[in-house]
Amino acid sequence: MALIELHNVIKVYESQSGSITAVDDLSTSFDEGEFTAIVGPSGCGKTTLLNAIGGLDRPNKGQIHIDGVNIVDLKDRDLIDFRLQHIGFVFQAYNLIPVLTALENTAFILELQGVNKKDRDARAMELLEAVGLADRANNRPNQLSGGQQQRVAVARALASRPRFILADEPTANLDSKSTETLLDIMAQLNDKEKTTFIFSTHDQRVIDRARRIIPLEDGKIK
Amino acid sequence: MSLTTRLAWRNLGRNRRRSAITAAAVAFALFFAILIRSLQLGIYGHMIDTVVGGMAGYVQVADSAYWPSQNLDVALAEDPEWLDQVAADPLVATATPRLAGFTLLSHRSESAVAQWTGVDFSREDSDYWTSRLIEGAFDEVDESGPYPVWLGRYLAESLHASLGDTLVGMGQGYQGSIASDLMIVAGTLRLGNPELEKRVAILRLSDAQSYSGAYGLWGTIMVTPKNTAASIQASQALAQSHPMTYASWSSWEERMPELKQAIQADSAGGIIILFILYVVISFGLLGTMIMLANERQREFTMQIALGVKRRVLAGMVFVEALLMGLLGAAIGTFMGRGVVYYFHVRPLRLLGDVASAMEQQGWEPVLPPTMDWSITWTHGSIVLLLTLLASIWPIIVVYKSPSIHR
Repeated sequence: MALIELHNVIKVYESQSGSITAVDDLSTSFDEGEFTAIVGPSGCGKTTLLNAIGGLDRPNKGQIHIDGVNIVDLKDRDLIDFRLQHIGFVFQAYNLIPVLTALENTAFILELQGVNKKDRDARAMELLEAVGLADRANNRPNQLSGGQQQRVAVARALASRPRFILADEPTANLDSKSTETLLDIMAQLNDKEKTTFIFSTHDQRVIDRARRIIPLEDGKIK
Repeated sequence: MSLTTRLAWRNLGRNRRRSAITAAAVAFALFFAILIRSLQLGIYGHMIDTVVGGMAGYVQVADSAYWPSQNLDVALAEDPEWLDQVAADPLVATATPRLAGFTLLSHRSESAVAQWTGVDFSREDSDYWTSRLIEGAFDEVDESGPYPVWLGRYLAESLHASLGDTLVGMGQGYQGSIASDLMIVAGTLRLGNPELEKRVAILRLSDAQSYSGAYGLWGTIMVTPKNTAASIQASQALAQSHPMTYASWSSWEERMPELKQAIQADSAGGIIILFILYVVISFGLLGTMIMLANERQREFTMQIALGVKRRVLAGMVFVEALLMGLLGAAIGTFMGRGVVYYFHVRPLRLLGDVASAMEQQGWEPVLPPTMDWSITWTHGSIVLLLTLLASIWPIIVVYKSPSIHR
């Protein structure tokens, strides 16, 4: 059984100029351990699809099963808890908490899950070492470069060992070197921790490294 | 430290200027509230203490027909045993008899109407009288000479009388007798109330009885309860436990409703000023909280996406407001109490026209603030509550935040 299954998912946005179908009757699935890139031009529905899979946005129609649970039926409160327990997120704009250090940001999800300080700090440090930022553990986000912040965001997403990680344009704000470093790290973690990665991207460097590519156009798989 | 508190504490440092302005608004509001209310209630307390505590009594026992005419003819028979029982009651601080009447006092070519009051100094708080003496003494009396009298300072001024001068007193005594005799000025008094200082002439109780012919009689018994703020309750309780034939008990609020109403009316003015201050401060706090919410909306959304429960975020904002409020309240209390203490030790004495206007109303032109902590607690709680109410805005924003940022 697949880790994630989407059945006839439709997401329509209403705007003043009319309806926009961002995801159009889309069905697909993702297996455990995948390193997948959802690709396509701007406005093709990549982020909408990722948000729907992550339970951040509800589709108008269709079902999304994660580990057998149809998250479309979950209430808002249960969905927040589901995300906390099962899904890791990496955002384009890093979205680290500015008042926490790199170590605290990495351990943030674990702290929300109620893991004790000793265990969460050990796990966070292990991940910071993995992303090459152990020496910046006590730095706050404003003391880190964009690439370093994104690596901390990846470490944060991985900390709680989620079933999969959704990364929305994770390299969009990074230079070439930082992008390569980040992709190396994610690929290694995918190998080592068997974590499923699903990216939305139109960055060719990411596409080149993906093991599966889902091309989107007008909300449909090409 | 919990995650909520840690985030809230650190968030205070993110925009230090805003946090400082918010805390300053709270501190400013509390500072003025403490200062205004302490001065206002201090003046009332001073007035009550001088008019009621010193002369009329917080609780008074008198013949049922004594008020409102204060007629000497309906005086009570002395009953020292009963008085000792009242004085020993756990509710009572002091209980002391008085005898009072009106007389004409003359010195050389000057005359003035005075209210003579007989005081049993052996039962009175000696500090009270000593502290009010401007010149003269209570214990240096020539027993063979005329009755020693201690005059209110304005009465002494109007009679052009000074220490050692002899006065002639003439007025109505007990049961139609004439009260007339010589008196010698043994001292002048500052009683803290200009109206009292214009008319009061203090005699020893035995001299007052002799002067008026009211031998073996007390006009009133002045009772000071230990809790002067609850004189009505004390009056009712003592009337039950120490009944006296023909006598009735009354608190100062019952005898002087006009004084109580004047205080209430003036106090209402102060409360209105504070209300306006609080409204202004509240809008300032709300503005700060709206800014805070707007700045953080994206962050709230991101944290909800990560799996942070909305109540955790709401708690964080609430604790943040609470910390700012507590910081401001601490500064406001420190400043307010500091200034109030300064003026408590060195009361402001008004001068010129303002002083004259106050004196004409019967108020001593002095502003002695009270150090009562209840003012600090009350207004500290109010400003803290206002800060927390203002934090409802960002809490609403947290609960309305979507889990994605479009």
